[in-house]
Amino acid sequence: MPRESYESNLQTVREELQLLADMAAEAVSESVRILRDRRMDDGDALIARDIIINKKCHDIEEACLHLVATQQPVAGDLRFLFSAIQIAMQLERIADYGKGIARINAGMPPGPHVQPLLDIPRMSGVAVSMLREAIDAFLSQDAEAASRIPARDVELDLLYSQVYRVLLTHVMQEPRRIDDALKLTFVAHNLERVGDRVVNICERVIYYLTGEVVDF
Amino acid sequence: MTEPRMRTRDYSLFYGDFRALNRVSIDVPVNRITAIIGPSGCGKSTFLRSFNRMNELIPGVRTEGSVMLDGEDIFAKDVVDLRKKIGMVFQRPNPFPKSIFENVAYGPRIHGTRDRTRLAAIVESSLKAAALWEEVRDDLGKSGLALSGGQQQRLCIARALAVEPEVILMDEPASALDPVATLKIEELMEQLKKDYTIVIVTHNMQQAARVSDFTAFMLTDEARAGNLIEFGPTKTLFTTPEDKRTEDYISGRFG
Repeated sequence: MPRESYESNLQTVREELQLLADMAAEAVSESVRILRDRRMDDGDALIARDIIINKKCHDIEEACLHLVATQQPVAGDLRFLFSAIQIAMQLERIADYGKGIARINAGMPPGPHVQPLLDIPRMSGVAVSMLREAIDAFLSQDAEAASRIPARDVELDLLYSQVYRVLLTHVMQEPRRIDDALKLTFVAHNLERVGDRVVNICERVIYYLTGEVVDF
Repeated sequence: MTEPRMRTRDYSLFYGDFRALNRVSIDVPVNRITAIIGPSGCGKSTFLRSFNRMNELIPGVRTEGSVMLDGEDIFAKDVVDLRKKIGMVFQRPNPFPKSIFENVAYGPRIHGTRDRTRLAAIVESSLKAAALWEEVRDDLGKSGLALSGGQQQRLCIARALAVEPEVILMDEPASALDPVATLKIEELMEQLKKDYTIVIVTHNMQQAARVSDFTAFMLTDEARAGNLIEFGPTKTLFTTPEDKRTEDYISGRFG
């Protein structure tokens, strides 16, 4: 096969992106579990892992730039590498949202939430499953799948409004815990932003596969 | 959309019974650089030589379809007039074994310009247009063969420009040159396209991507006849080619 080492370098970029996506998904899921269960000791480890995630993102960028500089990729390969850089950046930001949620948990006094968290873990579930589907679409080169995912962002938006409404009602009944309630709305906002980042990823997947620039 | 400078329609070329080009249709836009790329033997040089009827020198050649210059059939024209309008630069620089001045003055002279002052003006403007004037202005009596490879190629370009062509055909004009001389030729092409229409055949895909506005990709079929696979803006061809074979070729997966 011609260009064997080039092909194997492209394959490495794919594998590393899958790994980064797993790490970002896990950062979001785990941060919400920590928050839900009020585990006060586990957040630090998650925050520390973000350094590894950032490094992986930079490594992917560097590998892509190296291939651009030395192999003169064109057409589909060029769109792949350009998209891979952009997607790695989105994944790095998604992991940051997880880190942010762990920080919020650490900043709230220990003890139960104003009320048991139901919709926030649901948001996390939706956001993470969107993320996994988007990366699957990228790696399996499925533009149609990528174009279906952004519609699910509506679920996240609806859940976000619901969280906001419930917490607002709660604050009116019990103004003493206003600080905790406000912090939980930040969490929901972070998860809503994860959805937006996944939508960006889907746009990049479609550009990579079809050359078309779409805006969902 | 302005009329193309050159246009081929269903143009085929045969060497005896062998079909070397199969119904190629292409529009060469005015004041643009059009690159023809493809693997060895795909017919790209044969196609380029069709634009100024160079293939007629080969015995047994027969053509079908049309090749037009400014809307006129090139086969109905006088071949000397045609080649005055369509100049050519080859892979290996081929200056005449004469002085730099005589190399450039040669074309205008055989087309009837005798006046020494007029010839000197043409030589100067042609050498300037070919970005060679500053390097040779004090040595116009020196032999063209004494120049470096890159300078010789620019001398050949100046020689082509001296008869005021509309189109310049370039067959691998930089493949025998070092990287710096190559960049000079590419830079020169960029300047020349303001006044001329350029068609270039190149093996170097990155060169096509760098210098051309439009790219044609050719490939042989099962019968070894050259076919046009894809033709379009270079930007599109190198980012979102339509044909899988174009993508495979430009990304180095065959050829």
